[in-house]
Amino acid sequence: MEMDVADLLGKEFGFEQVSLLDEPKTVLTNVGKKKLTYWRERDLLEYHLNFRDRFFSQYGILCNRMIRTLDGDGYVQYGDFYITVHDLVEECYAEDLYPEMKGYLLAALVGTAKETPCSPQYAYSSTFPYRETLTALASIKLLYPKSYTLLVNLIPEVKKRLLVDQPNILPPAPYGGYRLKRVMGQIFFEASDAVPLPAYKWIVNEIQFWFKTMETESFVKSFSALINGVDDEMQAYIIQSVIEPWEWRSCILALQQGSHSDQKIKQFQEEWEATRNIIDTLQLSISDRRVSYE
Amino acid sequence: MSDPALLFQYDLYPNQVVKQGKVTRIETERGTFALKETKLSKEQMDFMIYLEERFKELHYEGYVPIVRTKYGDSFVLMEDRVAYLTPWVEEDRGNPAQKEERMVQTLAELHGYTAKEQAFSEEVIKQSYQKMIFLRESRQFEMEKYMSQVEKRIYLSPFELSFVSQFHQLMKYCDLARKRLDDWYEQVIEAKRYRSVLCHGKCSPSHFVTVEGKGYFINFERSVTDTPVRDLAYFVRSSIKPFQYNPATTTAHLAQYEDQFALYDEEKELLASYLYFPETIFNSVTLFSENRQEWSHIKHVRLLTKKIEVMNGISNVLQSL
Repeated sequence: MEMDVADLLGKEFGFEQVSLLDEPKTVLTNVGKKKLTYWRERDLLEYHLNFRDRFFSQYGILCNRMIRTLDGDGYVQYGDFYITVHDLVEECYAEDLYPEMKGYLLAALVGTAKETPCSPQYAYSSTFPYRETLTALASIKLLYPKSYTLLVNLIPEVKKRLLVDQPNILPPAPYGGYRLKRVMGQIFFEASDAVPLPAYKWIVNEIQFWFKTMETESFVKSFSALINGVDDEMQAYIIQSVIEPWEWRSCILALQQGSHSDQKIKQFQEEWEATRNIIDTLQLSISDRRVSYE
Repeated sequence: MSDPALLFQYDLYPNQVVKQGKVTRIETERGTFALKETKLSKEQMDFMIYLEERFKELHYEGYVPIVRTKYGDSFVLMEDRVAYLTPWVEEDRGNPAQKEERMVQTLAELHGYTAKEQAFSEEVIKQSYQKMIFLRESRQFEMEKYMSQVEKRIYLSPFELSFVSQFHQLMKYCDLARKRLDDWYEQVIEAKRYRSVLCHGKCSPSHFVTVEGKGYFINFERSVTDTPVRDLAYFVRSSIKPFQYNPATTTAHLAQYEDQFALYDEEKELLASYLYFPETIFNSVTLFSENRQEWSHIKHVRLLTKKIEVMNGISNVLQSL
């Protein structure tokens, strides 16, 4: 079976030598070590193929693109799987990225995600489901009355942070689990092979992470680089997503699923406070059904 | 993007890198390659990709193909430039005259393979004719203006003196260019035909290599679909050696070209019109006036004298065309 893979790769990709290594899914070829990915879902594979090609061609950031076969295809079929071949980059990018680069990287991902067609199964909505969340909130009234009261009391504040009935079309992106590496002195973005994540998870989580881990000045620089790196439409959606009370919704859903704990409520309160600080720091606001960033 | 990061796109690890003019010669275990970094618009890149596909379809072999990156890209985008790679073609150290002969044959082949009769439209022809007249008259007017400025001076620089002494002859060439253009227009309207070919765009011996008797064009960056006369006029101008010029050579080249790809009568008129118009001399004046390259005065004089000499040579040939 394994010899078949080596033969297949040699034939399809034109490698003069291919030998399987002890490291899993790794082969040694006449042009260096290559990493293999086995895909079951062709939709997901094609999504990643398009995403990574666009990411490099439009933003110039090296990433783990699919090496082409002699016929120019990005993958070969092998039984029930599709195999893609990638560069094996071993050197990690050890330093922290400078603030503007963090923003640029995220902007590049938003821009690429916007242009990459996505299978309907991954085309998550980024619109905040307010009414659905209220229904979920009602369902925990009897189970956790104290937490319920806390969450209900926040509704006036929640409403101020919402653009009701205004859809948000921030695109999903394969952001989770990426690794930054270095090749020939350049940053190499190694995307994971996972399914794309909804935008509120990947963009908002990243901005919150920046806020937690960066100095205020650097944080503002990163956010400005992100906003300046995307078009006007995406700018508005990003700001809207940052303001929207996703942490409120997450807490309600967690309680609804029975994972109540003081720790969970404490975490929510910290997140709520952090978002408020982010909004203040960046001077984000919603008024007259419009978002703004000073 | 640094050169190593660029070569990473091709899985090339160079043993030796040598800059040779505008290209970089890269020697690797997997062969020798030419890396070109240049400025190209998206349309130009798309056209070059289209050309390769077209050449493959036509089984035309007179070009050096672009090597794709391991990810299947023909070009690697850099900050303000693009890079592309081709196999390095080591040219035969043959006779330059033989190279030109081979080049004119390969050019005729290229035009023959790609010739396409266009749907005739009198309106389109009229517009091209009028546009050409307008552009040439504007250029002529600029030169007349320059001349009148220069004439006011008591002492002229060597460059100005050379230009002034040739000015009336240049204007005669302009008149002849206009006459041949009018003839082309009349004939094309009468013949009701117009064809285009794939033009290399910079058809000079420096963009052509010969290997074991075969010829290959390189650098299709300026290629366009246009009349065959565009390439032919460029070739004639670039192949004339100033001060050692033999009109018979150009006549022989044109005959060789026509053996493979015969020009229509009206195209011959258009070729004469292109060649008579002293655009390259006017360009030398612009180059001198702007002097962006910060050349020495003597360098400008040499260039102008060379261009005038080429123009006089062309005029000799044209008398028989």
